[in-house]
Amino acid sequence: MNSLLKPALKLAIICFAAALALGLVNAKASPIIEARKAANLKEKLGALIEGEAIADGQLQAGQAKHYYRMQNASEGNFIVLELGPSGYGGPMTLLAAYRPDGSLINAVLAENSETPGIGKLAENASYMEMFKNKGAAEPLPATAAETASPDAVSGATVTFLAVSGALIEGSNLVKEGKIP
Amino acid sequence: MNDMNLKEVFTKGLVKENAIFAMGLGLCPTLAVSTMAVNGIGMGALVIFVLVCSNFINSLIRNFVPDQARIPCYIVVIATFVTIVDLIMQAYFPSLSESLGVFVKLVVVNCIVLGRVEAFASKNKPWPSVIDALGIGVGFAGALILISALREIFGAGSITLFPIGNFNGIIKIPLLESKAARMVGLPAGALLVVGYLRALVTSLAAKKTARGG
Repeated sequence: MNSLLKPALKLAIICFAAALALGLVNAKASPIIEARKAANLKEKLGALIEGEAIADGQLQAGQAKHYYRMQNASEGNFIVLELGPSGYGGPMTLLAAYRPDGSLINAVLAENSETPGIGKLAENASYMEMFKNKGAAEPLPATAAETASPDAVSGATVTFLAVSGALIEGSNLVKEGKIP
Repeated sequence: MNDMNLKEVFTKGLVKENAIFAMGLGLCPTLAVSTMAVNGIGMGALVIFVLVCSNFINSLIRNFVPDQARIPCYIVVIATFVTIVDLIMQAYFPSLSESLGVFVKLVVVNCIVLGRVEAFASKNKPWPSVIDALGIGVGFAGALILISALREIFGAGSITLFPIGNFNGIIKIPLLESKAARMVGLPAGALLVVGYLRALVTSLAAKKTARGG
């Protein structure tokens, strides 16, 4: 027992010292990281759609993490969802604005680690044209073949499927009235 | 360890025992993040920092670390420095942190870092351990930057560096930009580039040995 106790105690001391160092660094860095994420999200929301926020809150529904109820002169009341699909390079943040009937007004790919020149093209505003105004009478495209220009997503199928899947899920949440 | 030995400790990590081209270590992050030159620079700097700090601390505590639990002790120290760097990158270099993604955290289990601690730092004093880490780290960073630059030049027709002031960091290369070989930017292309470079380095080393150098 004693032969295990001494090594275990030494390992515990090393872990304690490591935890102390990490705690100090985290205390300094954490506020900066949170402020940067909030500023980034606000900038992306501004790029997504102009409007006045009425209410917002957390969501625990599939890929939907946060919702914002907003309004503006041209669209009236609409809902913005923060969706978290997984792309080729890992987790992504997708902001999507929906009308109450579930049709997509606009979407913006925010945080992502997609391949430059390939999946990262989804950050371009023109990429989301294939999804706009769909989701109500006309369904959102679920595969590249259902889009008007399949070549636009060629070579970035994983990114496309992640984006389209998240947008379809968001549209369904809005249509089914699952947003508080 | 005298000055001549320290020089040899440093220089062997640059080419003769280069982590990527000679030892074939750390290939997972090499193949995954070497899509842009700036990623190579960032990951290279990260690995140098973690290597130097881990080697230094583990060498300092080498007589304190129990033999039965030496690997967990080494990994705790390595993971601490990787987490510190990850937090600093998220706070002050967010775009680089996004580009490198999960591969920042994977440096904890990068065989280069644990390998040097086990093979050198655990048996030598702190200063030679730091020199060894610097040599291996600089060799790895140099190889990674070369691979990243080649993959981006031929795969995307550009070179991406850190943005400064009005310069957005992207240097576009005429002709190549419109006729880039996209496959070079994909994982298969990464294997090809690393393979050819490794063959070149091995060939040059063999010629040098044959000349008696």
